[in-house]
Amino acid sequence: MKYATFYIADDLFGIPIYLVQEISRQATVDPIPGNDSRIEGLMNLRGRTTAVINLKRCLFKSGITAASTGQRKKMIILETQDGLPQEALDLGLNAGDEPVVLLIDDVFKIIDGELESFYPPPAHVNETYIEGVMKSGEDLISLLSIPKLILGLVTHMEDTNHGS
Amino acid sequence: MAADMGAAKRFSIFDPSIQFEHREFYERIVSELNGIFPVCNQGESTAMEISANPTEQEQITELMKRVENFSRELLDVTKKLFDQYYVAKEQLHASILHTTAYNKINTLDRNLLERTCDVRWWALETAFSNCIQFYEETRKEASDIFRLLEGISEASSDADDKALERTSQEISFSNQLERIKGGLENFSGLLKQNALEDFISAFNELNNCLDSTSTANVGKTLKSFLKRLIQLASKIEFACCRLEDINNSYTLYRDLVIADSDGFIIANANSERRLAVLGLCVKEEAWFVKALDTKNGTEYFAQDIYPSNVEDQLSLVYSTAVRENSDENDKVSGAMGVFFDFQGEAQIILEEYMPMDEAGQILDGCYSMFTNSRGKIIASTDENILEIGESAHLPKRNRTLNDGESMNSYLVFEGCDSAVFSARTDGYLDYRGLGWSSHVIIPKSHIFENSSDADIYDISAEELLNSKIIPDINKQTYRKVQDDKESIQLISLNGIVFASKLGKRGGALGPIFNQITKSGDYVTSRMEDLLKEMANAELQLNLKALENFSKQAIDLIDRNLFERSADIRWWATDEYFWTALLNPTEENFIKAGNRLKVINGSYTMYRNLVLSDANGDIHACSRTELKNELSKINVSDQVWFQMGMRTTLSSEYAVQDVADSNLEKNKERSLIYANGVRRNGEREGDSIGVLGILFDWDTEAKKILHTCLPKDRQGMIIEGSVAIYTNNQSEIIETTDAERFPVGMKLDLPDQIFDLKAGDTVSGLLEYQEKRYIFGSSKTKGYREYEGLGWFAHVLRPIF
Repeated sequence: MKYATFYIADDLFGIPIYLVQEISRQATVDPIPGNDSRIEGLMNLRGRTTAVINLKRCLFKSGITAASTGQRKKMIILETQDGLPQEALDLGLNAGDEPVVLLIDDVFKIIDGELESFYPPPAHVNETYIEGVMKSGEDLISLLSIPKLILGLVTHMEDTNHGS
Repeated sequence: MAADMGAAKRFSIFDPSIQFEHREFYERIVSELNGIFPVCNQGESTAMEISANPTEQEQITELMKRVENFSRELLDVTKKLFDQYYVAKEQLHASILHTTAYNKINTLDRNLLERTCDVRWWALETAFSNCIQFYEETRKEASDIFRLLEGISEASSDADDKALERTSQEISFSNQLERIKGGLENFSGLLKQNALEDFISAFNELNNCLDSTSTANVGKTLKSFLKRLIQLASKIEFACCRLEDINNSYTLYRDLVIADSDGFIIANANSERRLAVLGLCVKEEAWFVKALDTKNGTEYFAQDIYPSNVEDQLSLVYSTAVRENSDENDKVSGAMGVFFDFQGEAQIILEEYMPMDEAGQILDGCYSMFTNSRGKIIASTDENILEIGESAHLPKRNRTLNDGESMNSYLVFEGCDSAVFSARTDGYLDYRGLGWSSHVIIPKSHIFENSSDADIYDISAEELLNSKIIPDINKQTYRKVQDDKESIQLISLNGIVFASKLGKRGGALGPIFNQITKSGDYVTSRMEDLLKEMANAELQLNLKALENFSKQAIDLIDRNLFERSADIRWWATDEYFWTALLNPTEENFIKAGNRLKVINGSYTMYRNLVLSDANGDIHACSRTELKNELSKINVSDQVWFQMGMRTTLSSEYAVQDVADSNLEKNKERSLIYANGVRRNGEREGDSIGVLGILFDWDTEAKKILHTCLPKDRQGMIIEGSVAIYTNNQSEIIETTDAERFPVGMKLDLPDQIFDLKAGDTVSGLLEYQEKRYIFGSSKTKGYREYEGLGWFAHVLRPIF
């Protein structure tokens, strides 16, 4: 299977390519009120209002300041469950029902990899969203779990709404 | 054939200036980009093969079209990139060499302005007007004596006619008489070196012979005239001596001459040329004629380079009238001409800033010259090729410049494709110049040669490309290349994403997008390399420009301070000062004070001139309103005074480095030159007091530093740049930015600056108060007898 890999600060992450609808430059994001800094804001995606998730804020534990790469940021527009090809479904991949956009620091490349080659995640990242780690050449790539990420954000939002 | 180096110039890749490596580089990029188009066509065909779905086909075709568009844009950017690279090199070189050409003529004009002050001031020396006046009176009296002797001669002749035979003694007397009469008739002939002394001796003998035969009255008249002749010889000797004193102080003259109103030179400074010069008639020479026409002591005449009888080489002469009683408004009694060592000075200036080999010789193919207003060469770095007096074979536009105008052209010079940078003088301050131009010729290959590696500097290429050093147009190109690189990368990635969703059908598209990614990466990374090379070249040239500015700053102050060292050496011999110190009456000190005031009136670059006795008590000053205050100050513990007292020769001088002084309470820093005043103005001996001159250091230094600030291509001073002088303790002694780089502050400078030898320059990067700068620094080498004080000039330009 192929993986789209990208940078968050100096670390490399990857997601299955089937979960990617498109990679683009950073578009305009409208901030939304709320106290969850992991949500960068909303953007208009081909006429649909879409949430933009700031992955850096999701992945790094508090207190860790990630250095900026100096590059312009990029966006990964995630595929919806409806858009997943049969091959993805056969592999048991899941996506959200609504389109979601991930804000990343920079795109790296598309790599080939097998799920079996992933190791347990490193300690410095929030392991909740990391399914494993894979070596690609000299690079160490953390595999991100999109369902867990989205679920975590939705749960948080629901908790916040109930609390208020 | 000459070509313009104007802003409209575009470099085609086939321009001969483009280096072979760059042409090859260009061709590889073009070939790689051209290779993308068939790949895209293949991608479109593959889309048809693997999918019957029109939407899918359209999506792939759309991606391929976008790749083709970006490839075309990159092709265009590549051409522009080379153009920008070479234009940038050309413009930076043009800016540096134009400044060089201008600096050369400006340096000369600054020098010549001082010469116009010199001649006007020196012509008021009493020794010269006294000498001319005495000579004129003696000459008139010589006519009377001639008539008197003619009477004696006739009487003697009558007696001879009556006598049958003349004795040998009588014959000898008669011959002697005729010789004396001849001398008196051609009185100016006596001005020839030793002629007057011989004449006096002969006249004395004749006088002795006549003593026994002539009447008492005749004897008295002749004796009186003899005494006058001896006095004249003494006055001429004194005038020559004073001219020598001046010349010893101001060593950039080959000769200084005083002529009477008929154009006969009666005194000169150059003892080696005295035999040829004294008694010479210059009444036909323009410098003399125009000097007599000056209306008052403020006027002067500058005689452009021409052959004068006074010298055996082409002369540049400044002249003015010598006036009766040394009064600048009195009647004209003669003229003073000062013969500037133009050739020597021009050589120094022409060789400055020229590319040199390791042996210190100007590189082959590089030339520099001055031309006069008629386009004739008046000085050059290679007289075999650029012959003095010949027309300069330059494009017309380089020869016919207006005042202050500059021009750059390409031409073939001595068989070499070259660039010529010309600048015509616009004078300096109130000196309008003589319409001269300066030209610098450099091989074209020198302009476009590869720069050395910038890796030695602590700055990355990316930082450099985003810095203020790089012009906006080049930054825009850099961003465009990065943008296109990113676009192609994103298209390729999205293509692979798209292909993967087609499952096995999409497998055929994978290699196509991989090829696009590979080609895109190759092209853009090579273009980035070229941009980095360009940024490196820009950095190197900017560093060179800052080195030149710092060199200009130190050279200008050195030259200025040389003039100050000359001033002090000459003024310390002034009669008013030693008279007052030898005979310290209030009246004499008032006279000395008035004399200082007159000098200061002409030399406004001084804040005050003070005369102290051997104990360090100040008795006179040019700012007479400060006299009471200063007379309470004893300066015996001050360095300038102590050094001045220790001088034993009038050709020596002392200078105290910039420091606080209680003579100037309202000034942060003073720069004081001093020299001992000697008994009777003698050239050698113990000091009987000290003359101290307080240079208006900060005003003059600031003015110079401001002219040495770097400018952008529009001629505007680059924001945040600063020019400073530091002393040998790294303490700032003058600055163009008193807020960030205040006077008195010690500057933490890179070690390489301290390793500089006199006259050398260095450049690099430094950090000051968390701000990064590129800098150029130069160490003083002094100028002529002024050895410099170990100072440095630094010019800094912010990187961000």
